[in-house]
Amino acid sequence: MSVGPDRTPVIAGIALSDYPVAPELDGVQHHVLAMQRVLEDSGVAKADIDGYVSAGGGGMMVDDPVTMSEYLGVDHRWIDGTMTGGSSFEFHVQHAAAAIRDGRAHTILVTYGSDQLSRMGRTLGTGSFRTGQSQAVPGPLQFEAPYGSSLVGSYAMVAQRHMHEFGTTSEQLAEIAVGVREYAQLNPLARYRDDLTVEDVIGSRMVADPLHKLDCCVITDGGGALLLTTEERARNLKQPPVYVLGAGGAQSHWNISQCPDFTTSAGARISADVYAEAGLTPADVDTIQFYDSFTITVAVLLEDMGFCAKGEAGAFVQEGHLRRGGKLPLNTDGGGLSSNHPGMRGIFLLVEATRQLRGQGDEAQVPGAEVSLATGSGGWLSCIGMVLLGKDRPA
Amino acid sequence: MSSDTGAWVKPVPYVDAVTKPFWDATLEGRLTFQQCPVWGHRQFYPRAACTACGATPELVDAAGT
Repeated sequence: MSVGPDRTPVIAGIALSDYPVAPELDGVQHHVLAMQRVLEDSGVAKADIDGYVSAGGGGMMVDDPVTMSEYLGVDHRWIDGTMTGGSSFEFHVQHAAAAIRDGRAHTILVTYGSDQLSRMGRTLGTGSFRTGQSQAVPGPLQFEAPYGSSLVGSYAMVAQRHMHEFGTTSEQLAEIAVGVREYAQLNPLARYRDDLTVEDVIGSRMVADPLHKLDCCVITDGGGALLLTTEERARNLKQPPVYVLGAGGAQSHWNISQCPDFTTSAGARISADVYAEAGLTPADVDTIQFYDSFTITVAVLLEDMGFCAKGEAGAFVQEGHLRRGGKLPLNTDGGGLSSNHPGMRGIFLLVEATRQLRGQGDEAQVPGAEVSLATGSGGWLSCIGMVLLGKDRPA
Repeated sequence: MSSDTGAWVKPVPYVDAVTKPFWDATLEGRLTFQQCPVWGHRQFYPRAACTACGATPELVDAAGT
């Protein structure tokens, strides 16, 4: 939606902190490093920032938005701290774009940082809750944790159901991991860069049936930042602006025990509206940056974002569309499956989509990329946020 | 059923005022869910509000069938 040249929202800066392993940095230092780099990338003067967003994730009084505003010295007049898990940043761009259109802020900084790998080790998400009364599980999770439910187990139930209903195969899911690995091989910083085959994925250790180790994302350190501003201000900045063409998000449940339909996410009921806002269809999208916490996550999102009918994602990926050279290259930075996943990956989807639309993708550049869709999944396919970004000004 | 949880090696719930009746029932061998006294909406897990209308739900025994 265009509102004239003055307040059309654009992404004017992107940055990553250090990854995949940065034991010298704590979570807040990742936020700081990402901010320093996004100021350098964009050419924005820090004093011009008048809006700030952090999803937190490192804890209240640590990296929540108000603590971080003080720590970074951002005197904001607009703030957001929406926390929907890994998709938080897609919601942030939705909210920031609206704030910029409304004139509530003109230069908004989003930062994220996590030292998950160095601090917590590699068992996070695959292990169970700790036991004993002192570690008693509060809230709704108290009705799942005693039965051994884990994060991977929740996504495994989604995969099982998708296989049961639609005949999706492990080979088809593995194809997703293999395609993303090809892009990771072009990213010198990616966590895993070895050659990978479908047989390797299926032959890797079973973590939660039917998800093998290599169906699961990596665990790393990392952080990122975005700078959103008006098209008018971006003219005096360093980078070609990338336009926010449409954005939306929705929730179907939070805990997996409350999931109404394992094979359809909340993305299915918003994607048509977001394409309509942008005046686009799925056929207009040149590259997708999707939350690949697990291979099955991508499969469900492909269907719910309108790239194929419900149940047909397996056949769709098997046709090779998501690979380098395909019609819909996926996760051109190496994704969470092979490059980096510090806990909430949604910001990297937006960073990579922007890099592609600037034409700065180096070897991984998708030729002629003009439109990219970044779709995040938070929780257990619970909160889906999507952002359509474009190289050109919205019509 | 034993009410002794000392040998339980899996995670345990943090029992609060709303969830206590459910967990107490499990120790008596009863599986319960909630039903709204207004419209009859049924829900699990137990919580302080009916997710359909917002009223305070009641705990009822599952038939076990």
